[in-house]
Amino acid sequence: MIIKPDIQGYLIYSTMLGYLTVLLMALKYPKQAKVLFVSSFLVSSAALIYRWSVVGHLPMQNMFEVFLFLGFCIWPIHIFSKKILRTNHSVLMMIDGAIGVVVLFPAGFIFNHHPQFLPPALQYWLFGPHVAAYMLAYIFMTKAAVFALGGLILSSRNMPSNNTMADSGYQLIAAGFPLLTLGLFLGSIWGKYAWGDWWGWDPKELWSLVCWLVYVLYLHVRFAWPRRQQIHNVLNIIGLVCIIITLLWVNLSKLFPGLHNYTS
Amino acid sequence: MSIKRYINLMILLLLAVFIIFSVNGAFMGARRAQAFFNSIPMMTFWGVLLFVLIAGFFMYASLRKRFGLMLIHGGCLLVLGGGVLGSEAGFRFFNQLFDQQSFTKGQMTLHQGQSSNRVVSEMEDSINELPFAVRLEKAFVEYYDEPAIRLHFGDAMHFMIPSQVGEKIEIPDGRGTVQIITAYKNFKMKQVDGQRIPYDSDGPESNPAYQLTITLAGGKPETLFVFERFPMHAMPGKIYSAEYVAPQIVKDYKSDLQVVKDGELVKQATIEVNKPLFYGGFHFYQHTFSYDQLGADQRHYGGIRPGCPACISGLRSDFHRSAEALLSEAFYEKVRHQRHERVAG
Repeated sequence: MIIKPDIQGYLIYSTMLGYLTVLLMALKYPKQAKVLFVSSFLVSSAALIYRWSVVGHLPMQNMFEVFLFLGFCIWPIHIFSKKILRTNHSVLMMIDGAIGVVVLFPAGFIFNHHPQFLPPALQYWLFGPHVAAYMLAYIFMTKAAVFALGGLILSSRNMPSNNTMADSGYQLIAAGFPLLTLGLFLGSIWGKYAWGDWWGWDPKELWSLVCWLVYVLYLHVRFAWPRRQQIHNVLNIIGLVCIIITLLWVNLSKLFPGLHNYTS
Repeated sequence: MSIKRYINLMILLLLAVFIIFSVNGAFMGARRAQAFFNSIPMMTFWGVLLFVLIAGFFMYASLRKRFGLMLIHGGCLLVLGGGVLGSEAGFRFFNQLFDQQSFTKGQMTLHQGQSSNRVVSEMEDSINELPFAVRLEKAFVEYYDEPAIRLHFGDAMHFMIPSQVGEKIEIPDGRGTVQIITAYKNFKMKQVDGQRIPYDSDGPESNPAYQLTITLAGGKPETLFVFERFPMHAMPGKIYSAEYVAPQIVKDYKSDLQVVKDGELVKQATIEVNKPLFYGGFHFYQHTFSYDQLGADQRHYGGIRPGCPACISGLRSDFHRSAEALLSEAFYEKVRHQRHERVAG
C-alpha cells in the first residue's frame, strides 16, 4: 500500500472520488452524476497529462502508468457503450463508475510511480497504439464481464432482464474483440521490427493469445448455441480472468520470464 | 447430425484444445514453447485447424458475405498458413524441395572495424555465408544520464561531482576544491621531448577519461586522471582517490553498418534497437553490445542478425529469408541490476 502525497496522487484520488460519487449518485441524481462523470474524466486526463510531462514519454510503460491510462479510458468508452447498449443510463454510469474506481486503485495505492526512462526496446511508434488498443479492449471486456456476472446473478434468483444482460455482454465483446485483435496484430508487426519474428512464444504473448482464443470460443459457442446464455456468461467471465492474468500475473510473477517484462 | 453441426463442434473442440496448449506453453517459457508448437504432433493440429478454417469458408455463406467475418477468418487462414510454411520444418522442406542452402536465422559477432559474411545459426550449429559482407564501422551506446566522478577519502567520506569541465567545486567539510580540467573521448599518451603528454585520439576505439585538479586545504594543486575502462587506483601516499562513474541508463544501442558487395560499398546505415537494416533479403538487427576483455580500450560488439523482409504470410523462399533477433533487454536488465546494486551498495 503506497499513498502518494503529491500532485500525481491528488489527481488520481480526486478522480477516484469522482467515480465513486458517480456510482453512488447515478440512480437518484442522474443529471448531476453525468456532470460529475465528465469532470472526473477531465481530472483523470490531467493526471495522465501530468504524468506524461513528468516522464517525457507516453505514459504506458509500467504498471502504474497502465492503470492510470485505464482510468482515463473509462469515460470515452462509457459514451461509446451508451450508444451501442440499450441499458438504462443510470445503471451504466454506476457500472462505469465502479470499474473506474477499481482500475484506478492499483495506480493510486499499489504500484509506485517513480519515473522511469523509456528503454531502447520500447522506443518505437507502435508502442502507443499497441498498448492503447489492448487497454481499450480490456475496459470493454471488463464491462462485458460485469454484465455477464449480472446476468448470472439475476438468473440464479429467477429474475427477468437476463436476456438484455447477456446481450449487452455480447455487444461489448463485439466492440472489444476487434481492438483485442488489433493489439495482437500491431504487436506482431512490432515484433518483426524488433526481434525479427512475428511471434516469439513469450508467456505474455501466449496469455494474450489465450484471452483472444477465449473470446473466439465465446463467439463460436454463442453461434452454435444461441440460447445457452449461462454458458455465454461463464465464458465471458473466464475471458476477464485471462485478461487479469495477462495484465498482472504474467508481469508480476517470476513464473513467466520473458521479453514483455518491462515493469519493475 | 449434419456436416455443419459436426464442423461446429470440431471448431469448439479445437479452440478449447488450443487454449489448453497455449496456457501450457506460457508456463514452459518462450524457448520450450516454440519447440513445442513447432513439433511434428503440433503440425497435425495446425493442419486440422487449417482444414476446418478452409471448410468453414465452404460451409458458411456468412464467412464469404459479411466483410468483418471474412476478414478475420481470412486473416487467421493467412497467419496459420504462413506460420506453417515459414516454420523451421516448413523451411527445411522447401530447402530440400528446391535443393537450396538458404537459412532462416543466425547471429554475427563483429568488432569495430571488422567485416564478415559468416552467420552462425543458433538452431543447427552451422555457419552460413551471406553473398555480401557486413562491416561494423562503429558501435556505440547512448545514455540518458551523464557520467560523473566520485571522490573517496580515507575516512570513508565520498563525494560525487558532475562531469562538467571548468567549474571549481568545493569539497564538503572545507577539505579543499576539485576541478575538471579536460574531458577525453579517447585518451592516449604520446612522448614529446621525453615527457608523456595526454591527448584525444581520433581512432575508432574509445577510452573516455577526465583530467582533474584537486587542491586540498593548505596544499598544492595535484593532477589526477580517471578512466571509464580502468577501475580506480589506490594512490600511495594520498588520502583521496577518484573514480569514473559511467552513465547507467541506456537510451539506445546503435551501430554504423556498411554492406560491401564485390568490394563495393552498396549500403550504409545506422541500426538501433527497433530499427534494423534491410539488404538483399535480410534484416540485420541490433542484438547485443559488449566491451572486449582483450585490450584495455578495445570495443567489442556482439550480434546482428540477418532476417526476413516483411512477408506478411511468413512464407520464406530463397528471396525471403528470415531471422530471429533478440532485443537488448537482457543487457538492459543487467544494467538495471548493476544500478540497483550500486544504489544498494
